Amino acid sequence: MPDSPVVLAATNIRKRFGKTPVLDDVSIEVRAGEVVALLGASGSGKTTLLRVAGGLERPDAGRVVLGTATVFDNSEGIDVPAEGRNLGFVFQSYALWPHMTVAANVGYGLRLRRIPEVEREAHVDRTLDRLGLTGLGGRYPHELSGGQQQRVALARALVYEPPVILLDEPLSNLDANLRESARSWLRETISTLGLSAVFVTHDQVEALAIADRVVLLHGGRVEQAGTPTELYGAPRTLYGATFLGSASTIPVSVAGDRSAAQAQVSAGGTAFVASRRAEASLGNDATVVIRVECVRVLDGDATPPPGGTVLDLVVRTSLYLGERWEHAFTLGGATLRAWGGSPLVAGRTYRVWVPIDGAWAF
Amino acid sequence: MARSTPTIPRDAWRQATVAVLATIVLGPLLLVAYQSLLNGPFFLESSRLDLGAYRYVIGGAQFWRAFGTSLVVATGMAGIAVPLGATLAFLLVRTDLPGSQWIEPLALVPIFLSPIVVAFGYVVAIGPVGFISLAVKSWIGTVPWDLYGLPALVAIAALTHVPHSCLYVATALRSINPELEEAARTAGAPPWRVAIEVSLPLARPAILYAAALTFLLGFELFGLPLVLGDSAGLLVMTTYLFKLTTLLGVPSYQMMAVVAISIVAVTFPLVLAQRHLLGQAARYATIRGRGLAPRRLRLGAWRWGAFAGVVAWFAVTVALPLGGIVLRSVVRNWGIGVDLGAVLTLDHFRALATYPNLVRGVIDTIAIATIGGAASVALYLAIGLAQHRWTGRGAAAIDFLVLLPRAVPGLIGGLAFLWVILFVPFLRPFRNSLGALWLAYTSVWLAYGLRLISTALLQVGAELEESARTTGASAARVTREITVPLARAGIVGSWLLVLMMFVREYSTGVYLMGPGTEVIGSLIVSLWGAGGLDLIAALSVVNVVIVGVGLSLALRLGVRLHA
Repeated sequence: MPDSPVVLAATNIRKRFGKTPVLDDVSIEVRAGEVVALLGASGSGKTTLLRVAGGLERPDAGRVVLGTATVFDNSEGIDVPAEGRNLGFVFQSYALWPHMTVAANVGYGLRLRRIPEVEREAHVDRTLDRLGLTGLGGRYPHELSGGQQQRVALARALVYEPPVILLDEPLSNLDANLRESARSWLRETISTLGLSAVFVTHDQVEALAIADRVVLLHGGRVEQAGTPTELYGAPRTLYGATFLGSASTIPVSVAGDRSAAQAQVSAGGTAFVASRRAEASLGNDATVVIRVECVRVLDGDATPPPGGTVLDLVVRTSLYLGERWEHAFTLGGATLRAWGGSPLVAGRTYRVWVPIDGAWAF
Repeated sequence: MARSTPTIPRDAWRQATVAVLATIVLGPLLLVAYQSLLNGPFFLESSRLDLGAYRYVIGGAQFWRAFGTSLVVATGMAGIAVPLGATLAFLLVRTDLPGSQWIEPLALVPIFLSPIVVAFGYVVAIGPVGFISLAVKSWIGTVPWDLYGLPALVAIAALTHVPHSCLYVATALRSINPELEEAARTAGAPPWRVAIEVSLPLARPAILYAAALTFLLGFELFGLPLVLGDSAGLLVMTTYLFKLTTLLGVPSYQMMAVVAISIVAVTFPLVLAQRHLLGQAARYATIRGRGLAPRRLRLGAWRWGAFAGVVAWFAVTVALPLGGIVLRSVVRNWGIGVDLGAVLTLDHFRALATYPNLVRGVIDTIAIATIGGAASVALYLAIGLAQHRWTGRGAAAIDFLVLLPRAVPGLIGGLAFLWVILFVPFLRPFRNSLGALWLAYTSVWLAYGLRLISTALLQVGAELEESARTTGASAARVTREITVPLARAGIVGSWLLVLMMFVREYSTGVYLMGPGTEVIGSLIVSLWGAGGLDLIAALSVVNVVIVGVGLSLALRLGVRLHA
């Protein structure tokens, strides 16, 4: 995919709503056959960016290129309206037209493209079949389940074979149990049909599971972009480290450098070694982010694995989460969380192992 | 601590409200229906059950002519007003029409103007000897239009009813999820196709509703045909009823009752049809996405053309009649070659003060609108609260009972109340009191007022009330301490709107008018019969000024101008 041609490029996009900047110099790129997730909390600008790409929102500055055609460039005064961009858009509410049948909804884009009726019907049927909607063409949207409506929305967006499909929170309107199966269905459908897609989500699991590349947005800027494993395993910023996954955030003072990659830190007198993540040098005070799944509670006298620090910490509570227990230890003035298979006794001290490459100092 | 809530008394006051409502709504109508089946006035011992009145009225050619004219007027009105109103709504809600945010409240002004005042305004502006007619005549030698005829009546009725359609269609367009339109845009549809293939079909239930409403209003039209149709001998159903006594030479209760029942027989099915259409509209409600305002359609070259069209409509519908009235109220006389500076006078307003009945009329109008309006809103509130989040059988009864008054034009409502007062011995002393008039007004505007109140009450989230209940408040305390205080702004707004409707009202008081129950609107109707143009003009200006004060107060307070 890195060698595939770029199908969508939005560069240096700026957009303000009144005085608040929503997008502040954001650039993204989508290559053919690639699925890109725009991940972020609400207010991060992810939906605005998607709407800018789709021509539904007009940015204040920047450039949007589809394939080889520039569809927006404020310096050149180019602004191709939404209907001229030939993109597929799946809306959060699905936006199925209630006065049209499923077949009419899906076939509308073909009707606009003046595809003859016979060909159109065949094409609509084929698309409905591929998305598991066989025989539902005559129904009205309100006669379908949420999951079926979502498939119709996708069918409508891809029936005229747009080069890129844009999806706005495609799974957020589904029930929790349906969402998991829809997640794998969506990923499978996108790869089998060889589609290029950009989708917006606030759900990190959704982003990591479906996308080839994730763009993490924060406050209208790109916090980090990369493959799911890069984003999860090697966050470059404190925000990225805390946004993805489940982690403890510990304020520390930096006692000294162990090496260029590691730092000796102390949280309220408890010293341990963390790896350095910030490109700039650490000051006197720093924040260490420790992923919950990295921390281990050692049994009795068990020898700790290499590459970590063993701390004696008091456990405050153990929460039962179903498949595991979550323990809360006091570390300095903060809480260090860890997972385990059995409950611990509140108030007792345990040996806790913190790996160096799992404790990130920012 | 378990507190048992006595459920029976709680429902008892709700049931009582239903009973009061049923009496007010059904009593007068049943009396009219009963009267229509007699061969003489209901208060005479000698009257017997007889279908003679029906045979006589329905066998008469004049009845069918009036019916036909009403049909033409109502159809023409709906045919013109609905497309114009829908277009105006689309321009205001979905396009970059210049100044749309201040055009919108102004466009609703015709709803609050008294039709009798507007009709009179047209007479003095573009009637045979109107200001504009004479100006045109001195310029091209002839007046190229005829105000007194069916085409002019239909056109004016249609233009003044554009806001009603605009209101409903605009509300529908606003409630369309913008993503539905954006989905069509991204699928490749240009804006005009989105408007025709997505927005319009989605607003269709609202458009049909507006058509049914306009048709209904067309059938109930009274002031405009009274003033504009009279000299051409053009009668519609309501003016036929009004003229019946004159036509027959003797007051004929049973004939009037038959005509009244015939009118309701047409309007009630229309009201039911409207209700059905409203249910249809709810079906199209879809899940809303984020509340992002849709990008407005750029009109480009059409922008100022559309603006000019809207301004022209406003000029003809509001500025023309109002300008005519104001000018007529300050000139001694008017004719070809009259110099405006030489005839300017305030004599008409001074004369107004010398007629005790006119002075009373102005005071009564203000009193019935402000104090009476507040009392009506209090009653509507009681009914609204009885109905609020009530799912019992009584709630359905209320639902049905409030539909009836919508089918009863003010003229018939007033007539029915007059008869009730004559019929019920202990009410007779109130014959010449404002109380009788107030009761008639309250009944005629019942459906309108209740819609305002229930909208205001539904603004209060159910959870806010439920949380008070779970905290331990009784139903009555929830009403007193949660629902009503939270709905206060809406209740005050309802009062202002009812106030303006009461000022605007002219037909309900026509039959109830006597010494002590004069109101501006009814006085204009009777002065029109007597030809007192100077006084009509002055009274009209007073009426418009009162409405204007109410309207600007409502706008200042940010009241939504519709239910």
